[in-house]
Amino acid sequence: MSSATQVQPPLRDLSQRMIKKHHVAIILLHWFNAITWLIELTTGAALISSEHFRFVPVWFVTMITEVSGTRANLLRFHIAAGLTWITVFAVYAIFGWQTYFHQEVLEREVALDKDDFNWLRIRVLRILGRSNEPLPPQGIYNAGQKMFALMVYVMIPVIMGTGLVMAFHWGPMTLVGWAVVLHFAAVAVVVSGLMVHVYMGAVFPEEKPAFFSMLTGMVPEEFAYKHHHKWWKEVKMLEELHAAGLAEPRPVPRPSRLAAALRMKEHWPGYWAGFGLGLTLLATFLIVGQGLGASGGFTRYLAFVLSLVAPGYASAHPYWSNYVQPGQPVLMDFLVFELIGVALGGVVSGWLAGHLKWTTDKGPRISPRTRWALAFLGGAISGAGARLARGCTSGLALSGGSVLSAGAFVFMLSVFAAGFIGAYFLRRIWL
Amino acid sequence: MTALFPLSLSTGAFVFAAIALGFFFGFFLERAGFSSSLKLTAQFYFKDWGVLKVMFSAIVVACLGLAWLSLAGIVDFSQIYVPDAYLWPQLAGGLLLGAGFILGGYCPGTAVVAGAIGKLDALFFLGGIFAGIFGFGLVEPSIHSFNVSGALGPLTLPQWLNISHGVGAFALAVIALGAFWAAENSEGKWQLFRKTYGREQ
Repeated sequence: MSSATQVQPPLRDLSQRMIKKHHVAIILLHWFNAITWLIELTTGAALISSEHFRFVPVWFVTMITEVSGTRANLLRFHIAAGLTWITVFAVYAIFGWQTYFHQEVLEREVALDKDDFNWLRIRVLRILGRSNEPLPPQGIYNAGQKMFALMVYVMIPVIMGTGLVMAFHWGPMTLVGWAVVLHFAAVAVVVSGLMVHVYMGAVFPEEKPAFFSMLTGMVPEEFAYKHHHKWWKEVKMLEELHAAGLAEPRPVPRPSRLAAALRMKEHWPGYWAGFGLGLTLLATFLIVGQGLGASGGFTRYLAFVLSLVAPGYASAHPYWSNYVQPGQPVLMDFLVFELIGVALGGVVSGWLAGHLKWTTDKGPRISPRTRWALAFLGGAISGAGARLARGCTSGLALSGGSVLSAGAFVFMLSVFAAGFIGAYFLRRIWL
Repeated sequence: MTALFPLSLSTGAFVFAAIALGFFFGFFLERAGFSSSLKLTAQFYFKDWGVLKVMFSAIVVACLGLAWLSLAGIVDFSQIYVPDAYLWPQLAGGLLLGAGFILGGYCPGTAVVAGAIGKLDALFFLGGIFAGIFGFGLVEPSIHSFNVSGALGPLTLPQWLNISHGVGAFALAVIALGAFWAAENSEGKWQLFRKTYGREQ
């Protein structure tokens, strides 16, 4: 592509057409990041207690502290928001290693080429009034944006790492002390760039389309033509090749690995699903201090029905009175609400994979009716067993197993023993 | 600063968290294929080791995660609920649940997910659970002394073996890896289903 073949399209047409610049996942990440920065800068500024370093007025510190109650709460909030931020970035990095990290960040956002360095030089000279050279054409991001991105991507890990060291006092006091200094320095570097970024995005008239592209994902073709010429040419060439039927077929938008995994009809390999389940279980322990479960929730539902139908019986009964106490809501229990979520999660997963259908799973040698009767019977035995054991495969084996509860392993062994032995005698049902 | 986790939540946040966490629980159970009693029971015929793989990988992830986070001071392990051990009722309850599992094709949690995507057998199983729990409530007063026998309190295996929790968690991970190895071999090389039941899958 020499500049002699520079295409000269009618500019009026260009102003009509929109071309896609940002993927929706990038847009969401951008605004999530923006909100987090706002929160963290606000709370972080109010957390600086030292007279020497505080740069915000005292009334601001007082106001923000009072909104969150105490300074300790404010700190908790700052840390919780920071951890959320780290988690979201980690999810993007892990699931979108190829798409978001490699293609978006490394190849587009920070890759400075020769044109970019010339652009920076000429831009500075022009501002100083020392040059009239035209600016070299730019890719999807201009050199200024790339410099900002580079700085941010270098500083983000520093901020995350030092934040973790400060929050959890990892390592000796000296390390924590240095983490504080580095945390502030890295934030200061980003903030200095952020001022330009926000000014360009929100105020600078010529960059208006760039701001709106962060909402809609689209930019007018004219804007791309003028400001991101190299990228515009790439898009155009691809379009023309497709129109001429010359190019390799239009790159069928290959679903991302995550999307494919969400929609796959087959079951996930056990280790994947187990990993997801393990993370959910870990999050449950962290957030509510107990594990996942099922049968305990059923017991509460039943106790609730009993407390409505026969309140006197339930509150006097030696077993049900464990659950039904005057003045105590029967349903105020983690598992009661969790089970609602379980059903919802099942429906959503089944819907994505196309599993929603009224069917009966059964072995080839029995009728559906027999299967239903056996299912009811099996459910009854399981229900009684779960109460006797004080938990089922979820509540006791899975959750109890994760905290290495002795009872959980006794239970697990006997479940598997009964399952394997019973399977042999009941093979007519399933084989 | 004291450990950040577990959080103490307001009622609204608690209800929301419970539903959200349950959502992921149900989601991954369905993804694992645990909404199918055929898949679940295939475990007990040595045909498909999904139950063991999913359960043990989940336990190992959560167990190691908790151990590390409490080592790093991020979570206060003493605030995490450990179920009370009741040796004999849990042994007997496990046998009953295992028997109900192979007879009915589900366990309580998986039945919810299966019922949610339209498995009729799972809906009958769910009905059975309520009946079983109700029945247990009826007879519990007469078997109460058995129901509280072998009480050991919130005992963990490392406490019982007198080793540190971290060592216990690590040992569990090693055992799980051994179990995964056996599971892969059982599905592949060893052909346990054919050897036990004398037919092809």
